[in-house]
Amino acid sequence: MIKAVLVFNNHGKPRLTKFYHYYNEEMQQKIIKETFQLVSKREDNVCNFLEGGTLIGGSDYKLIYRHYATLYFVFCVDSSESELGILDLIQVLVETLDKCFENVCELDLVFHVNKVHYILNEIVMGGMVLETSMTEIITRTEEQNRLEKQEGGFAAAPARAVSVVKNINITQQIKDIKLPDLPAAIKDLKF
Amino acid sequence: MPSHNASIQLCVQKLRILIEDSDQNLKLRALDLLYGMVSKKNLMEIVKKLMVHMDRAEGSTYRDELLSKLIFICSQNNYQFVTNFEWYLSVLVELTRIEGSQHGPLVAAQMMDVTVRVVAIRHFAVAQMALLLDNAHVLATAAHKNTMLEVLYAAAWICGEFAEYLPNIRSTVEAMLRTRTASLPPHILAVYVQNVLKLYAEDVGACRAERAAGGRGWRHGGGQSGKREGRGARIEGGRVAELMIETLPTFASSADLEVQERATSALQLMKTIQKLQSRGERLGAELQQLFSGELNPVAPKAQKKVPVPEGLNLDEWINEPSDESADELETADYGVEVFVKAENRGAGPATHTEKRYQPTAEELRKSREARAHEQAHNPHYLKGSLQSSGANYGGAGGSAPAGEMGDVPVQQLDINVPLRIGEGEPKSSSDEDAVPVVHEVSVGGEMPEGARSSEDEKDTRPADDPHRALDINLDEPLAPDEVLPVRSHRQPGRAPPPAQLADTRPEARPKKKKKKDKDEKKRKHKKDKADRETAEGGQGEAGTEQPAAETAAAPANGKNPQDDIEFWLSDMPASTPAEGAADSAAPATSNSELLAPSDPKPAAPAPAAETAPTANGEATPPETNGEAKQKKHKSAKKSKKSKKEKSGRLLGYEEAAGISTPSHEVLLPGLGEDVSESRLRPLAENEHLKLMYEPRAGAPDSGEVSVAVAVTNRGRDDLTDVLLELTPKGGVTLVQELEPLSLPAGASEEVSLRLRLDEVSVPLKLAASITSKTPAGDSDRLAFKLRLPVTSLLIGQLDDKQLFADLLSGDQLTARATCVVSEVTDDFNQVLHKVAFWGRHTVVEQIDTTASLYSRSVQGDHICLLLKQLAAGRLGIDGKGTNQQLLANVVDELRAIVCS
Repeated sequence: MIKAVLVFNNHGKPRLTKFYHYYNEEMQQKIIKETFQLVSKREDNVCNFLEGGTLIGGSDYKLIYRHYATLYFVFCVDSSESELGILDLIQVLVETLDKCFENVCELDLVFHVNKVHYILNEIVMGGMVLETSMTEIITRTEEQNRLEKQEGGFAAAPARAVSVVKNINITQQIKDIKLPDLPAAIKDLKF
Repeated sequence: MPSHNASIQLCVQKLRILIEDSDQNLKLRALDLLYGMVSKKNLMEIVKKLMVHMDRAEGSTYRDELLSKLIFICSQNNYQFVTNFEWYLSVLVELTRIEGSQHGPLVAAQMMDVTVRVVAIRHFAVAQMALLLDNAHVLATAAHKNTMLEVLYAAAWICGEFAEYLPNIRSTVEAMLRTRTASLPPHILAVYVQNVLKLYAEDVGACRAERAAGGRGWRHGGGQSGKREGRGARIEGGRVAELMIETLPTFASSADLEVQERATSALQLMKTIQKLQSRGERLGAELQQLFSGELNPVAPKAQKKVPVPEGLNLDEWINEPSDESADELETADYGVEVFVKAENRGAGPATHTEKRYQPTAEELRKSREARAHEQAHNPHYLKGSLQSSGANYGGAGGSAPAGEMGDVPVQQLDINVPLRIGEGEPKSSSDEDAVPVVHEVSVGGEMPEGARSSEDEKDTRPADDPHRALDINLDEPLAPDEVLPVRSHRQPGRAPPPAQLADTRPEARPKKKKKKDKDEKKRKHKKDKADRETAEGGQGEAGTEQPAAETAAAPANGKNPQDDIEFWLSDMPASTPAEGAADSAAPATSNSELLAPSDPKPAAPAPAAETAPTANGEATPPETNGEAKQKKHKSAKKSKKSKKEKSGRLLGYEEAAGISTPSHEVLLPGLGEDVSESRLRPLAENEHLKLMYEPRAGAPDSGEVSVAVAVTNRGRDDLTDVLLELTPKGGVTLVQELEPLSLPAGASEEVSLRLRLDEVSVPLKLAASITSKTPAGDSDRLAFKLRLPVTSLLIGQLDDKQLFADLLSGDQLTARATCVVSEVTDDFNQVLHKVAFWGRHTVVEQIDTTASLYSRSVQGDHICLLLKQLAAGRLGIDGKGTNQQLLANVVDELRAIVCS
């Protein structure tokens, strides 16, 4: 079971945290801190799997992480999860994020918290891996976006209309109206 | 049998290197493997290396892991690989030095186990343990959570149990009684009390034996020194007893009941003995009787082996079950069939037990088939090869079609070596013979009398019991007909290979060019840009029939020394002073500045050089002025920087992680040099007057804004009754009426228009005019339009970064707006600066070429922005806010700002 998904930057600032097992706020902070201390000490050329966290599950607890430019993606899992499987899942998550937010960056995770959580919920639910196909995940997120846009569109329509009307330069508009050249039209009229 | 010494040696070496590796995971895995690589030959070497490694290891968890692994390696398979137990015991004693270990009980258990099992080692062990007891204070003073004190338990017990090997009983008793009772856990104290008694008994017994032997014999295992000590003990025979009677009361006052009880009874015993001895009775033999009897480990299967006494039949009823209870059972279900089949209901209680499980042969066969089928299709079920399945399931799966089991591709492994590392029968391996076995380990344990040995034990489980299949002796080599299933590779082309996940890390950011180059470039670039911008803005905003040349000259004139002061005083993105505060402070200082030195530079038309094509002429400021300005910038920059440093230090982590990322630092010099960027923009001008203006947001949530209009008299005449008038418009109220002022020639004055706006989410255009009178009496009127873009009325200030995170994770921000600006040629930092400066936002965080910004309107609406550089010179602006209209307008205006 996946106990938690943590994403933090090189300074240990959490960007995304999702716990699939209940821990109180204080404990969560401790877990994040400990995980960061464990992971940040490691060089880039060492193993991506790590044991030694003491706060979750004792010995039945593994950290599987990947380090991207400024972010650490850490999955805290118990022994029933496959390390390589989770490592692949991290890659899927990151690639999906990259597809959903062009040129993904850590601030995207903060700015689009809701979307990131949607994506994560597509992949992992209740600590179990639901979906590993990127195309499937992206399709679902796009559906979600479409729905959101529809709703947002209705809600924002009046405001948008008002702004358009206020911006309109009516006198200019009237001037710009092109009427057919009447005399010419008359000339062309054939009886 | 070929030996694999060389390869194993290689493996061990490799593993040793891995254990030195920095990766803790590798270390642990290597340790696991090392466990299996140990042989009689290399054990001592490996343990030695591990001990050295343990001394260097950091982190008590890892050291603990090493310790427990070391003990497991040595003790595996009944100390199969340990040839020299004296060595092993000294290793254990050495391990007690390790501080803060959690494995004290393990070490203690090992000490006791070895001493009990290996008879020949006892002499050495007892001597070592006596030493440990002597140095108990070293262990006792160690760290708080040290569990190594547990070895004292083992030491005391061993010394007491095998007291006959003890060289100097008296000193050991003294060492044990000397302990400060408070410093030891109670269970160890209890063992102390018990074993002090044992030692005393041994002492007295030895005296008696010696006297009986008349100094002729020597004590069993004691040697010459033991004899001498024995004599010494006899001479001072009563000393031990006296010491015990003296110190036992302190034990009796222990808080622990067990210690109390033992100490009290020991004390009474001692007193009785003393009384008897004083009457001249010899008690040695009786005392030794108290503790006689050999202690041996209990064999693992001993419990099961206790023979059933004659005439006891455990399967028989002791009392016949009464019929009523059975009836109750039957009728209790009130006719509801829950688990009972209908035909069983009619049957009497006697047949009930028999009929419980009675499938017919046909049913049995069917269920077997079904199970075999299910197993064959269950991916979680380990399918063995055909032979093994036949053997393991005892024919249970035999009825299944053979082809189904055989579907799994199994390749025959032609191997003549048993596939395991440890060797079951030591005789069969040649290299192990070479190592002389020094000690014998008593492997078996005590068995109850009449128990059969375990070899001839038969498995009483029924032949088809599935648990039998689990009972595989892994130590036995494979029989010649047994084969290990080997996985073969999948057939190519049968299944498409799993989609290769290309490593698409976010592409490496373009490396920063040399800072110097960049700064220079930026300076130049930005200046051009700003000039062009103001020129364009001026032209557009004035919106009158002024010639282009004059308009272009406007920004040049605007380059008064006051500008940079203004710049530093006015609110900067991500810097501290509040816009509201700057509102009142800035005009005051700039006014005084303005009045004092002002040398109005006449708009000297110069040939348009490298500047914007729209500008036909540009005023070049005097060289001296420029230099002075630069000096000013420098000092300003310095103070700014020190301020920044200070605040950084004060704010600590929050600042370090967010704002002052290295890339952000680059922004500062850019700002410092580009002081021409004032927010004052040209408004209108004629031959008498020139107007510049700057809209400023009022206090948060007030709905008020103020427009600072700088009026400059550019003519030769003094002007009087200069009055700014605003054409009334719905939704806009002037909070403070304006008073006419007089302007001498060349002077400028700032007028502040305080407005209350009903609606700040749309850009406003206000009609206004300014009238003035010349001394000659001519009155002059200049009409203009006052444009108030939405962004100009924002407050780019964020006191608490938590607010930003809360907003984004909350559901307040319902409004969305996105736009992508293509063909952005500017460097990201420049763009960000523009957006923050002109768009009145504060940079919350910047990471490489992404930045999040925040601002709020005077009506309390929040705006959060994400600015992101995309591929191919595009720039993404993502906005979230509480007011859709405001946000849409802000994003539109920002797009214009970025494009400008």
